[in-house]
Amino acid sequence: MAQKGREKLVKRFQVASCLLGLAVVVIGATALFGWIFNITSLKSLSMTLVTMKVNSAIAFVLMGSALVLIHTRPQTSFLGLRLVRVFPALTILIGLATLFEYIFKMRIGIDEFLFYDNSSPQKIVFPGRMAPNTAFSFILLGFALLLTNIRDGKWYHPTEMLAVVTFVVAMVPFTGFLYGVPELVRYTNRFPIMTLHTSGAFLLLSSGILVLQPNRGWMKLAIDPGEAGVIIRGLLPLIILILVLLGWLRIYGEEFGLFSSVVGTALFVVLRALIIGIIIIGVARVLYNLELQRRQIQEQVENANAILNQTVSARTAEIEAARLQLKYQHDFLGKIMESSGALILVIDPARRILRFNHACEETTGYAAAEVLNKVFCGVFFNPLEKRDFCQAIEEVYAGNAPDTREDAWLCKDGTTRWIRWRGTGMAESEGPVTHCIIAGIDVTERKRAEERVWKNEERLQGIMDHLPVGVVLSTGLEQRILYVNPCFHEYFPPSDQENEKMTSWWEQALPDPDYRATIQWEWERRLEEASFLQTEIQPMHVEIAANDGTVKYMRVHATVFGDLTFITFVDLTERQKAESARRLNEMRLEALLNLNQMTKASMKELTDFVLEEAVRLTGSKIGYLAFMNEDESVLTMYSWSKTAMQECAMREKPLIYPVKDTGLWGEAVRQRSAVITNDYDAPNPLKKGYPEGHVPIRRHMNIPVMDEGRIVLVAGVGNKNEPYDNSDVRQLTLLMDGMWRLLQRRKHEEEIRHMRSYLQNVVDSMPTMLIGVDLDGTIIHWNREAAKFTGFSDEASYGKEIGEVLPQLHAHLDKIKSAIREGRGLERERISMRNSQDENQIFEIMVFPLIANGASGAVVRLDDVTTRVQIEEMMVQTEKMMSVGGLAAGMAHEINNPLGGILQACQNIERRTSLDLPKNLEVADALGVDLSKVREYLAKRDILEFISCIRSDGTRAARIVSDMLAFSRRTDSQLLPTQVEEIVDTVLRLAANDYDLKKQYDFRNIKITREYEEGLPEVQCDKTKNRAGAFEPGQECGPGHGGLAGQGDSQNHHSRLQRSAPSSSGGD
Amino acid sequence: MGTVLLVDDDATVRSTLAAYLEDDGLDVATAASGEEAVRAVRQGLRPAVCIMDMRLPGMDGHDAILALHECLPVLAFLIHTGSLSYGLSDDLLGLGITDKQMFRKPLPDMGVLADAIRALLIQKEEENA
Repeated sequence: MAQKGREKLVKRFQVASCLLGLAVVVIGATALFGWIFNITSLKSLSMTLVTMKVNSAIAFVLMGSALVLIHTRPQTSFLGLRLVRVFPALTILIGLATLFEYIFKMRIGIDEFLFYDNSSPQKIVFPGRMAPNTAFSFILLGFALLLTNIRDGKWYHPTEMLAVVTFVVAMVPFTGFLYGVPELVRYTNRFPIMTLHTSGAFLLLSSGILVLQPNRGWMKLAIDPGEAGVIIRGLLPLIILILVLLGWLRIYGEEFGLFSSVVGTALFVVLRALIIGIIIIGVARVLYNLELQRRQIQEQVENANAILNQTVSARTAEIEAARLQLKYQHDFLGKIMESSGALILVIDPARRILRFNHACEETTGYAAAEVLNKVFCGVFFNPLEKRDFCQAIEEVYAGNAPDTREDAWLCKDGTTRWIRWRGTGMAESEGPVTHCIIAGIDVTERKRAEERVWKNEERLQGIMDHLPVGVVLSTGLEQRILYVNPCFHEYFPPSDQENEKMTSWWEQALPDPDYRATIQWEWERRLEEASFLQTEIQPMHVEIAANDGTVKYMRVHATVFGDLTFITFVDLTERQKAESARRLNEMRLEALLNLNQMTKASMKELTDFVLEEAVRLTGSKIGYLAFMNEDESVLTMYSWSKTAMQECAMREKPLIYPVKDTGLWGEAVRQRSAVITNDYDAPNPLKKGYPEGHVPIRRHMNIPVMDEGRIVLVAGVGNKNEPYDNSDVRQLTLLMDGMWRLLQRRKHEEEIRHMRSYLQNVVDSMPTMLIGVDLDGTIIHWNREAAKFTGFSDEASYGKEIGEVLPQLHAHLDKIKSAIREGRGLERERISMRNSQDENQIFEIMVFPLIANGASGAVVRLDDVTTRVQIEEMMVQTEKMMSVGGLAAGMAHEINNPLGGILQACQNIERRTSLDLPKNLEVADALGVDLSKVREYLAKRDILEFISCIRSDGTRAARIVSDMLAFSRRTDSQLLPTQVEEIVDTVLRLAANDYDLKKQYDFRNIKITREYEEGLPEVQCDKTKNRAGAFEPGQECGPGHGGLAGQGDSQNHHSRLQRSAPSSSGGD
Repeated sequence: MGTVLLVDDDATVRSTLAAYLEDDGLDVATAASGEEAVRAVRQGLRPAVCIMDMRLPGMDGHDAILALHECLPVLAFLIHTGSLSYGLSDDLLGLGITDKQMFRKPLPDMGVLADAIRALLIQKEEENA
């Protein structure tokens, strides 16, 4: 009540404030209108002739508008938020500017900014300017509005303070006008006054601002619904009004002479006391009435409390009884919950856990205290799984009854437990579900057991699905199929009808009804026998022709488990085939073995044998074999089987068959593969028939035998009872291949024998000792030259160590063995050995390790290099001689200079002592010497002879040097026409210088006879070589060394130089 | 008659040959090396015939002939060498020197050389005439 009363008062105050603001706007606007239209009555009250200034009117409009906007516009709007602050701020600026002008005695142009003030009295010096107290009041009220939003003081609010001050400031001139007291209106004649309507507007405006915020500051008392509020709201305005009225009455009574001032004062005091007393009595009465009302209400409240207490006591007793009952039931249910083996949770409307029983704790590992008040879904479910679960819970809260679920709950230790649970909603009467009770049981073990069973079933089915045997699982009595594995379908491809629904395996496995009946009869017999004897069912071996036409050999085995029959089908087809092939292979290998043992047999015998075996292995009646020529154009029939020969009635059996003329049997050549014709009588464009008397052919098969891509022979068989197949082709091919390899091997062996003989011949023909040795140096081969040198035959040397037969090699044996082991050749070495005739020979030994085909050992080669060594020695000697010749040439060149000096000096001596030179005579005369006497003296003393000898010997020495140079000079071979006499003379002249003191040999002791036929022609020869060749024997042309002869034939224009062989009698 | 320039490093050969030629009435100038001969010609010596030894210290006879020919193209040459294997090079053949102008040491008779000199001098006189 009090609150509502307070709110009501607040609204009234706010309305009053808004109306006061609106009144101020009207006052300001009226004055402004008067200024605009120059209506004096609107600008001022006529009695005073003082106008409200334009700025004051504007300020009142702004302030009144701000007050109205505060109440009418929301704080968030532009007007409410901006203008209520802008308008007071402008008002403050107007006031401050006006005070600034007064204080600093300046005119800043705001007084008559809008209108000239012509109505002011002349004594007013500031026309258009508001009074200072007016400006001050605007400033105060402007701040009062701007400070409305600041916090309250303890007892007051600044807005209230400023409004009250302004109210007092305005009250003074107002009362002055009211009581006609100019002192209260005009403080000085220099400044304008605050007019009556201005002061009244200020009173209204300050009052409006005062009640602007009635729930703050002092005004909180005014809106108090109690005594304080009543007194303030009722008495305060009344007292003020009465006091002002009394004062006015006293003043006007005195003015009109109704009473004197003293009487007026007494009357004023008495009336004031009376009125105040009446007011106090009235206030007391009001307070008294209020106290009476309060006491009545208090008594009513106490009575009501007593009644309420009684009622509450009774209800409390009932509630206590109910509570006890509920507690009993609660405890009962709690015990049931806690002792229950099932998981029971209670969830509140916020999906938080309220109850968590012991079974829950045991199952999840959480203590109740850990999960209570926690969101249920967040505790037991991971984020990925909880959505589904939470949806189920929401179904419960939605009033539905979801089915029982099984979910994996997350336990405290991170493991999961499978819980089979169901949620039940709890609601109050017909209201919505508020709680959810979850009851569940732990089915983890059952779940795991199921998973194990499923896995085992899957594993078992996986095993059976991949078993390489057919499996059928059927009921024992009805033989209804429960399971068939894929292998069974592979063995017995079902027909389309069977594919749709398979009810019995018999039809699918045994399509032939008769055969199926037979097998079924046998099957049932074995079942009965096993049942009777309590033994296992004996497996059956059946030959089954499946729907696709294939024939399989199967072993069928059955095992009975209760009412289930487990039947397995093992495919023995491949094994049967392998067994058959093995038997055929054994027969073929036996035939090939026999063939290999026929070492003495001729080729014809071999081919006949193989042909008969081929006929036997393939189960044929006839057979033939023909060889192919090199260019595969002609087949030559070589052999027929005995049966074919016996049955053939042809008179003449052709042997040569051009391939292009052959019929069906030539297809093996043309197609280069085996050709099978199981129905020979059927029309075939390739068939050309066979001649009259030929063995009738019903079936035929032939193959080409290839060797390095070339067909070498064609073998064929025919008239087998059963159709030929690939097995027959394989047998015939392998047999014929074996025969061909054998023939080839025999041919190769023959070639090897021939080649070996040829190689032995080659080796024996070489003038070199070739010795083959093994790793240990043991002789394994020995050629004729080795036998000739050592005197050991090859048989005698085989198996012996090489050092034993050739002791000279003993020192080299380690090197030879090392070379063999390391697979590298031995460096050539020369060794000296004595042959069987005890002659010394020089050999060059070389070792060649055998490297091909993994052979171990080496070939030791011993070359007789005795002659070569001698030639090499001679060449060395020749080289030495050439070196000496070169040296001699250099020396001879140097000798020529002194020889020249000697000879030239001798010639000058002879000339300058002769009498023929005038100069000699002239000089002798000048000296007083008789030159003829000098010459006579020289002659008598043989001095001239001596000089002549010097010249002669010098000339001879020069010739010797020249000859030596010519002899030793190394020149390019060049054939030039040369006189034979010159060559012989030169050689002999040189040879004459040959002298060996050690050997007591002097060429000059040899008598040389030179006989040249006159007119010998020149011969084309190399002078130097001829000289050297002639000189070589000449060097040793002493006794026993032969001689040199030159012959020529002038008529035939040829000459010849001939060296004669040494003779035992020596040369002459 | 023109001057004969004799170039030989062997003093005996040089002096005995010069003596013989002088006795034969020839004007002989000698040089012990190719460089000396070239220097003499460059200094104004104007021989008509040069007898050149081929094996010389420093500049050999071959280069000396080429240098002298460059200085004095009209100079005729006779070669006097102790090497039996020496043959005329293409350069010298290009100067007109032939095998007949080549003499081997030792000379049993210097008269053949003197005859050759005179033959060359006469030939040059005839060419000049």
